Amino acid sequence: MMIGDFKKDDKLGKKALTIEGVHLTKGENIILRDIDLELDRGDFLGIIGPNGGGKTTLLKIILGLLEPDRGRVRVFGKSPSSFRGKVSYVPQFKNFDSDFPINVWNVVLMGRVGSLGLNPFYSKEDKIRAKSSLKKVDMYDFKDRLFSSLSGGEKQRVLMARALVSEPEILLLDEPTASVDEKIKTSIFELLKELNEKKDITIILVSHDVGFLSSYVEKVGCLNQNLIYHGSGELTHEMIEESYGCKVDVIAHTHSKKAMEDV
Amino acid sequence: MIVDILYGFFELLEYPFYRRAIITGFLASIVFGIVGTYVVIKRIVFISDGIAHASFGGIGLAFFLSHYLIFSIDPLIGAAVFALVSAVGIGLMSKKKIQREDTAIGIIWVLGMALGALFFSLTPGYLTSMENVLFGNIYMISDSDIYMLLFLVIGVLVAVFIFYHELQAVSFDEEFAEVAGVKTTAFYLFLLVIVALSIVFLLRFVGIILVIALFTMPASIASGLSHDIRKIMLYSWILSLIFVMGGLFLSYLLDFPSGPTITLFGGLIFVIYTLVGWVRG
Repeated sequence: MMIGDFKKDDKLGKKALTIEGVHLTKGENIILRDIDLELDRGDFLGIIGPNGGGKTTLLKIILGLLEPDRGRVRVFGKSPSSFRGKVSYVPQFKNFDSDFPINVWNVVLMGRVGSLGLNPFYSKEDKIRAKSSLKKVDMYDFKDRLFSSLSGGEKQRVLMARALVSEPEILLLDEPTASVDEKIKTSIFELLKELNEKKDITIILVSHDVGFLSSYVEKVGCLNQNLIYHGSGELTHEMIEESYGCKVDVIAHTHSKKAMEDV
Repeated sequence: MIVDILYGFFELLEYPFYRRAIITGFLASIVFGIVGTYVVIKRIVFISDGIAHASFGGIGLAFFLSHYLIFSIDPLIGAAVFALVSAVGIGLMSKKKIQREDTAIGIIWVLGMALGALFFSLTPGYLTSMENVLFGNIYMISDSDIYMLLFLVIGVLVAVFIFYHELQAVSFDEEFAEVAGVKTTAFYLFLLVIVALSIVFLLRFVGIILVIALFTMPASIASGLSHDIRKIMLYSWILSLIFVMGGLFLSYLLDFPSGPTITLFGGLIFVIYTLVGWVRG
């Protein structure tokens, strides 16, 4: 897969993301407990954690879709809601209305919808970008297909293409490899790695896929109300146990992909 | 037989109120086709019905005040105020998660109806006017109603032309639309306000209880015929036109009230379409 010509914005600072003391409760339950996190531009962070551990919620707070009870999120020094269009998001494909009438092409162009303003039509450039993004995820041949008729893995790749069309500085992904076969999993991670290394895109990826995650990402955090994160790639048994609150059978962090595929 | 029906149709055009009803029906079908498509695909049928019922309170208040004050208030103004307040109220309550959305809708719905019923009962000679409001009465359509509806149609067409992609994004994936830079709360409220105004402006045509049928049945059938929102709007408009004109003509032939006849005629087609689809699997 190849990368198109992303324009890098050099005016942005080095700090991509700062989270300070983000705390969120729902009723009597604590969803997120005093989360702190700092990411430099070009970081690639994987977040693992049990279901209901607050992973999606944290992503939504970073996106400015949810407000924390206290604490602060800064994206390149600005609040998420005043920095629209530069942070993009790949949601879980399961959350979509299975009857919604929209084809793949229009889903992908949606990545440019924020730039339309009063213009009723997408520009030629928007369409060129949509085409190259769809080619990047090998879904261009599906462009006229109904989105809801696609398989999980196909939807996932279309949603990736949609996020790429907006040429984000920061890309957040929520379980991008759920119900996707090994081959596509590998190609998704390879694409993310390429975007991260060649284009300096900061990536935060939430996943259950501990094996894959630790073979591709630089930094791993465990989230279960608390974020356990040591700022390095080390994903230890202790971290995972502390986070899940029970013993999890995961082999130690390694860069050998082969070893991971055996998990 | 066919000649008789055609003759009947031309005969019908000789009555000014039928001419007004037919013009209204033509304009209304555009609103039903376009706005109804969003109501169906964004799944805001229940909200829309809530807004329609809540507007009853405003109509009752307008009748009540007109009776006891020296000047009279157009019931449409009362309906518009209540519909807009409930649209924005329900929209914000669900957006800001102040109250569960369906609970908020249910409560605003019955409060509007209760207020309306109370005001009407305090106003002498309320029964006929109440019936007109609930089920519509084409005899009541005035030229100014047609002009207002025409402005609404132009407004809807312009808005949907300019903001087609934004509305599609907000309907399909509100969170992504927000992240991509669309002011989703504004667009959502805008959609609800259009629904509210459509309900109010069509009040004399089909009434507040039946209006939701015409926002949903044509768009629902149309959404089974195409996967392109623009085509769904077109098919939905054509179906609305068939429902409205067919219903109007039937009501003339059978001497039935027009609102219920239009609704039942559309409902019959809808039921047949659904059954045929179900039998075919």
